[in-house]
Amino acid sequence: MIPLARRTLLHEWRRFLPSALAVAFSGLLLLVQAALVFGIFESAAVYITKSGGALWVGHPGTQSIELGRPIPNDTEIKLMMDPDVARVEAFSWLDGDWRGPADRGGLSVFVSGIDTRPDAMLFAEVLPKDLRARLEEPDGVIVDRADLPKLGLDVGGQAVINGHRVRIVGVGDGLRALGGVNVVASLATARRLDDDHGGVEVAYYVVKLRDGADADIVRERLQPAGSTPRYEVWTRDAFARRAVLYWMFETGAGLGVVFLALVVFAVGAIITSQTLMGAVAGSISEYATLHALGVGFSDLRRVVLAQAGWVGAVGLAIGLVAALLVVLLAIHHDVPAQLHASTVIACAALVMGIALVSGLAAVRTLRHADPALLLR
Amino acid sequence: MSALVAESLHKSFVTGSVRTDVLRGLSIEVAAGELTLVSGPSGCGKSTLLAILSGLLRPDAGRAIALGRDLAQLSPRELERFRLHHTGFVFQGFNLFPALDAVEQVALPLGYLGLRDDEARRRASAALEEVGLASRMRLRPAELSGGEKQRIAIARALAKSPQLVFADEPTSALDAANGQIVIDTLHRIARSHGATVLCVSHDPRLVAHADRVLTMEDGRILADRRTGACIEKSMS
Repeated sequence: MIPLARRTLLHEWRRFLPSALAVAFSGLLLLVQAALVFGIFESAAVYITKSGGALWVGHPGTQSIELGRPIPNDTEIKLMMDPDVARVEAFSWLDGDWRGPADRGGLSVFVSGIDTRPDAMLFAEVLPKDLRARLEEPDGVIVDRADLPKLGLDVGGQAVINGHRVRIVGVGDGLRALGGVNVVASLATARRLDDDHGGVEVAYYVVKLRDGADADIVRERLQPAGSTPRYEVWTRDAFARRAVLYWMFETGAGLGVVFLALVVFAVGAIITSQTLMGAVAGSISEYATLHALGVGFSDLRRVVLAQAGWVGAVGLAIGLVAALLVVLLAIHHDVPAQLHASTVIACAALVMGIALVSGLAAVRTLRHADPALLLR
Repeated sequence: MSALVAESLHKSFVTGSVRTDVLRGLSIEVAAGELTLVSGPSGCGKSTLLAILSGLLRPDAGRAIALGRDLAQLSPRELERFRLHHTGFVFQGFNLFPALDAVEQVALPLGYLGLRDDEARRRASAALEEVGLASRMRLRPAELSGGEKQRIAIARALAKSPQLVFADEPTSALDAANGQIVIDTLHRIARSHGATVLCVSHDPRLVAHADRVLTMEDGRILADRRTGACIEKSMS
């Protein structure tokens, strides 16, 4: 069988180029949008995903890490009593009022108090041992490299948090948080900055399990029973997902971005279908000829769908390459962007879906391919 | 036996609030194996007659019978199959596919008939040789003259070995020499393949090549005459 759809596409590529570009832009927009959505909202879980440990323990019902409240100090002992628990690490958490250079005014910051031992679990993936060791310097703090301009300071610069002097002893990458500047300090420094309580207020405990222990089973065992438990236990992934979903669907900004993604999808679908239908309409006399020669509607439909499929595939390939370049550019400029394979597959399926549905819509114009028109 | 029969055909078109009667109770019989020419001024309804007899258009009233079958009794799908298996078309505007070369143009409908690729190409090449385009097989429409394009369209109709060939103003876009070649070819098809060729045209050059000439005006047949071509045929 002569591959009419493919031959026509190759020969008259200029006519189909706008459709392919429409598909490419739909794909590009969807992919970049998805990458930004995941990049932005996964930074809400950066504390969790960049740390080790299998379980997180915090105030019951905590939706996202920055909403943590103090939990009782004896929690640590209860956790340690479980035979599968290898280690428990405290994570203190407090809001701070940052005063840097005079011309910068005040700034709200989150202060994380963490263990400074070389094998500590918190921020294990973003703080190399030597950088973590610098936190042992009294009043030493570490911030994300991308936050330095906002703070108006460089490494070695001094500022005041909650009335206490601190010094930036280093910068890390990937510490950037949603909503505010994330300042990392030692547990001891954090305790000094917490002027309200005067003692260490721990918001979370991170639990490391012994090799071979099943996190879900241990979590169930550690979770206190009763209607008003004093703390709640989550697996690492569940707590990270909870934070992402909270920011995505429970906040105005999150819903706005999700809504925008839907609009992008709708606009892409309309533009693609319109250009594709235009391209098919341009071949109407050819389809009418085929129909006059006795080729049935089902075969004509197959030709149009094949064309739509090819246009979709070519457009998708262009869109994918462009999206990868844009995401790389974004990451290079510290813009939070995350492109997962599953996102790419989902967007690709969606865009191919748009192309094929547009093809089906274009098939309807074939009904106007009245062969008798050729004879008038 | 008549290959095509029209019985009291009526057809009108409505444009806005204006209703135009194109065919007004027209009846004809077209004999098998002949080249029948329907001539008349433009707008007289000859193309509509061709569309109805070829199963592309349904009449408002009356019957169209092709190869003994009442076309009104066939479903749209059966009509498509009827056209695929029994009819060939030659259009005024050639209607070739810009992306395909000559062999592919001719082989395309054969593929839909269920022929294998190599067999379709073999038959397409043979048909192109028959219309004198053996040297043009790999060329696309943009590289061919009008006369060559129309001969490809004839080869496309011919390759299916149809019993009916319908030609709508096949020469009106061509110069005298090419028009001559095209009408000679159509005539030869009727003779050597035993096909029934129904040709509508207002081109007076065609009259001499037809076995029978029907003159149409205002949706009716005005005159019906046999020509010399027919006498030659009966003598040969």
